[in-house]
Amino acid sequence: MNYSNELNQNPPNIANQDNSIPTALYAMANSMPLDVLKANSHDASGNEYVYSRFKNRTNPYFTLADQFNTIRRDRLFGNISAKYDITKWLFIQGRIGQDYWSRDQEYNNFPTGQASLAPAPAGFVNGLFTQESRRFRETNADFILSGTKNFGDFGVNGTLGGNQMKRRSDLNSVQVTDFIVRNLYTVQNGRAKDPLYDLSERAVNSVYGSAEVSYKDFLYLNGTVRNDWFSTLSAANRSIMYPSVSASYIFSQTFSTLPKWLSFGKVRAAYAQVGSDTDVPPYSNLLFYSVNANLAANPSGALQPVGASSGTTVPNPNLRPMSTAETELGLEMKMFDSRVNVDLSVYRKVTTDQIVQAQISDASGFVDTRINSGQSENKGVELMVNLVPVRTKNFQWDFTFAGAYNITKVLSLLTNKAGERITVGTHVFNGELRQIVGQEMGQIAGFGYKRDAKGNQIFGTNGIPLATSDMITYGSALPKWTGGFTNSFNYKGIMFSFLIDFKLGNMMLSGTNFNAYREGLQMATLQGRAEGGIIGVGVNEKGETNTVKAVVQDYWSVVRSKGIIEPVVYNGGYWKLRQITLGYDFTKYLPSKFLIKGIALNLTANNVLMLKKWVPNIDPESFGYSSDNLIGMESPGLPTTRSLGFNFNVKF
Amino acid sequence: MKKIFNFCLLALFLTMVTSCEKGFDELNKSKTSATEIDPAFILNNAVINSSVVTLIYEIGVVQQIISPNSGVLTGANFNQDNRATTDDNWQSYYRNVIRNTKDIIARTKDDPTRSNLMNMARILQAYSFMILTDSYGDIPYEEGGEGYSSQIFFPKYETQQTIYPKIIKELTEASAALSASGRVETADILYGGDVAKWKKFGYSLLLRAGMRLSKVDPTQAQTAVKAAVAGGVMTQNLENAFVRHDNNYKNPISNTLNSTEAANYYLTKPFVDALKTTNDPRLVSIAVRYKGATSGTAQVPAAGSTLAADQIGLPMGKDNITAGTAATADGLASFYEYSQVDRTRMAKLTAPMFMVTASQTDLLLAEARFRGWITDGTAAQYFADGIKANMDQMANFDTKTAVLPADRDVYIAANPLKAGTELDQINTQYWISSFLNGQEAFANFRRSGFPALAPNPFPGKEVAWINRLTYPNSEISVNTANLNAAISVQGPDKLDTKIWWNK
Repeated sequence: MNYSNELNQNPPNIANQDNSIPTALYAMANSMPLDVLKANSHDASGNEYVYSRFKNRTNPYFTLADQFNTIRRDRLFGNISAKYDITKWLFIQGRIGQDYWSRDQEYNNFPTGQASLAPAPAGFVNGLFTQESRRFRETNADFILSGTKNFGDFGVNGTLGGNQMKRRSDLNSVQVTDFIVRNLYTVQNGRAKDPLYDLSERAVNSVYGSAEVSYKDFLYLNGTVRNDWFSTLSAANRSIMYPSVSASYIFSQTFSTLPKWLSFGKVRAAYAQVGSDTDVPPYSNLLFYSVNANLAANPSGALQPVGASSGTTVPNPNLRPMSTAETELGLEMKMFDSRVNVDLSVYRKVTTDQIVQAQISDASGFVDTRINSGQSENKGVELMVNLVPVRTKNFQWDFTFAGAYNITKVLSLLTNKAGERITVGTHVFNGELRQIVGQEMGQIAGFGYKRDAKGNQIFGTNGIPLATSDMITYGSALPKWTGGFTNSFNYKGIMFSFLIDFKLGNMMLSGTNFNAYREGLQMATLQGRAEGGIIGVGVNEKGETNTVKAVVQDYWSVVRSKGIIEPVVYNGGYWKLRQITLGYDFTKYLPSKFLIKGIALNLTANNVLMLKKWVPNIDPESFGYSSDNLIGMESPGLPTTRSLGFNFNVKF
Repeated sequence: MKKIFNFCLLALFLTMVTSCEKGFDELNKSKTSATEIDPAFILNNAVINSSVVTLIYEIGVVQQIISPNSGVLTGANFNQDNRATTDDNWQSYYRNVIRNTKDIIARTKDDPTRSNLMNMARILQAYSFMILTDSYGDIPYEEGGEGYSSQIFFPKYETQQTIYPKIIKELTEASAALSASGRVETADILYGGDVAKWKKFGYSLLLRAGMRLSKVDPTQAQTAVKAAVAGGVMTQNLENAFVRHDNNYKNPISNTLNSTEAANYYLTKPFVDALKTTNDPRLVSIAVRYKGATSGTAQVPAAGSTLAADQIGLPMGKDNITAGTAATADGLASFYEYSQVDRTRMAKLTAPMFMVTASQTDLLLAEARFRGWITDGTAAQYFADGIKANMDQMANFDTKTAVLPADRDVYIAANPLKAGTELDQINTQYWISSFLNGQEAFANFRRSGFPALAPNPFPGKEVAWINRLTYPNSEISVNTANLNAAISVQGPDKLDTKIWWNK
């Protein structure tokens, strides 16, 4: 049984255009003195002090003073179980567990007196406030019937079980617009109140069984079968069965006399299938209607309801569960007195019927629909190598490398024709994420600079770059190589280690640099300012060399008005010196029968140094927000922090 | 051995199957959301969503309001393609209006008791499609808005030449089918279900659609115009079709001009001069100038002057540097001092948004009469009625925008319809009457060629004239095949490509 109580105050408001301190700072002109803004956060009436023509860039000191977001959460989770031994080798166990939390949140989306909102009607102050109360409960009830028996050199274990999972989410919220008294954020103080109650429930029932056979503790064979029933899918599609089988062979134990250099060796092979419905929200099979909280007046002044179908996603009642099939081979060896240890595995994973929201034409009246999107593949290698190059009485040097190479491919969508594609996510400004048959998953696509057959850039009659007529793809947003190296040194109890990690092979679209280009804060936009304009290097539409000088601001604002993302798509990889640790274990100085059994002190530095990156101005890991359908699409987030801390460990 | 084991397990599973999905169908039914509502409420939603912002392109192309600023405000001010904005009409009308009208029609077409509601939805739908095709040219029509009902995710485009006759047919049939003996849909916020007014709305739209074809197909135009007049068009302001806005459903143009873009939009020199030189009393209803303003925050009521003599319009073709130079040349402290549409009166948050007015209808009748397509009345009388209707309409915005009857009559007497300049006069009045009704002002300006505006002189412009809006990037991305088919017929997807009725 566990209980936790959490209070979260003012998490940073990032990746927004309004009310966002990071966005306001990133977009601010370099000549703007921040102390002027600080001294003038509010005007004489108590409203936001407007400092910019672009009122969406809220005065950061106004936001700092007036905006709040308070989250309180109580959580209780635990389980009880009962076990009964039917015979010495067979037992049955039942278990019920529950995770329950209650979460209250209140936040002023727009503090009173915000300049980017229209003024409130007479007698009120503008502003927007939301108060939410959520309750979540997940219960799991399961039973296992399990037996283990040995037959000579063979060991057999069999399990049969079932699980019933139920989840329920309740939401009560109210949104209040415009207030009577400034800075008093309560429902009673509001002009227009929009209450909401939402209930969401889902359940998964499962039955499973497994059997394992072992021979003399070095050969193992295991098989499982499981069937899930999902409540979110239609009756015809909700059941899915999936098996798995695996085997492992500790070959180092079959040799009666081990070669001196090998102390442990194991090979393993596995094939497993998994089914899931996690990306299907409950009730996504029907179109629902809602009526607005606010009525509208007809010509005689009588208030009438206003309502319509809700949501922008066309419901799909025929979704099938997603299933993944993975084949994996592994090798693990400890050699040379455990001074060379290797763990290698190779895998291929095929995901079928992945559930994605594919974009459709706006002219259909909707934005997207949920579909089972064909098949995609992930294959790769994972390697961990641990070496101890030096080991003496007083000094040891450990080297560990852990890394993976993973390559993806879209095998089919609705057909397996190469080039067939769907759009699964769009960046807040320009650029989108596509799945294209025959290519790596997560392709970043958008307009580029128009070029002629020889590769010369084409400019319009006004000297401003033109966009390609179709969107082009820039590469996958998914990394191929990930991993890190750790070196640890231990000299007479002094420990020193450092970790370098890397992520390579992915492209990213940078929203921060996009804003920097259109606000003239990117270094690249300095060119041409002293000369009164840029003459683009290239040709005009007739093929003649471009000689028109374009105003620098107009030259770069094409990233927004024409959606040209070419200048802001970068290699998103990096090499980082991630961590340095220095420590000393004082345990050997303690008397033997002491109350304290161990003392160690460690100094740790995290995010120490960026060794190499290709995207300017930001940390390639700092994404304002991310989700599966927005990989590689960066929106302004907070700068990453380097930290230095110490850890004092005492054992009793 | 493992196979036998698995088989036994399987047999065990099968016996449990029946209990493993019990109650799931019930569980996956939403307990808080309705699966249907009275379609009349959906019509209200469609009506409110018909009111959209047209500041960046339409109102600027017809040179009435313009911004000297760039970035997100780039559009008709610089004659440049801003894809972030050209898709506004597309998304607003397909997603928020046509999706709803198609839903209403699907739900009521087999129910004879809701026949009036269905025809009301057809009229509003025809209005929306007219705006879409006038904006972009060839668009999805039959297959548009059918994402849920027919599961058409990638609709085919139709040529404007095939769409207009269909719109005309829809308006003719729906207006005729409205019946006073049928159910009166009092929940309707446009007319309270008043069948007579809906008929006039439908026929006035038919008149508008007919006149739209005056350049490209005068025969078809004349037929439609005659049918509209025979059916009965609007003649008084009580019959105007407009969206009533309030503090909960704010006027979107007013919302923009009262919040983030308050200091970014100004009345243009061509517009202000047109009103000033004729001593048009509407100038006082529309404009305000914040004297001495050097920034947005200095635009306070105390500094505002609504006197006609004080109003000065921002010349076309200026960016935020050259606008400052022009302001100095005009004797102003900065460009923040140029005249604006008054956001506390005509563009206040609760101001109505007009869709079809008696004034516009009268002026179209004046032109139809001038061409001899109708024989009742005189062009001069319709012309005078049109101006009178618009001046009386000014009172609908705010108590302080009303035009005094005395001033109105002086103006009408001083500006009669003169032989030889009929089309110019009629359509220039139409231009003034359609102020803030951006889509209609833009469409009629292209069709008639009046008022005779000078081309936008902005040095960095991409096109000489904006004749349409460009297709959305989302269409280029997901509906590529159908879009390219449309482009190959209509012409390049650029701002200056002329649509069919404008050729």
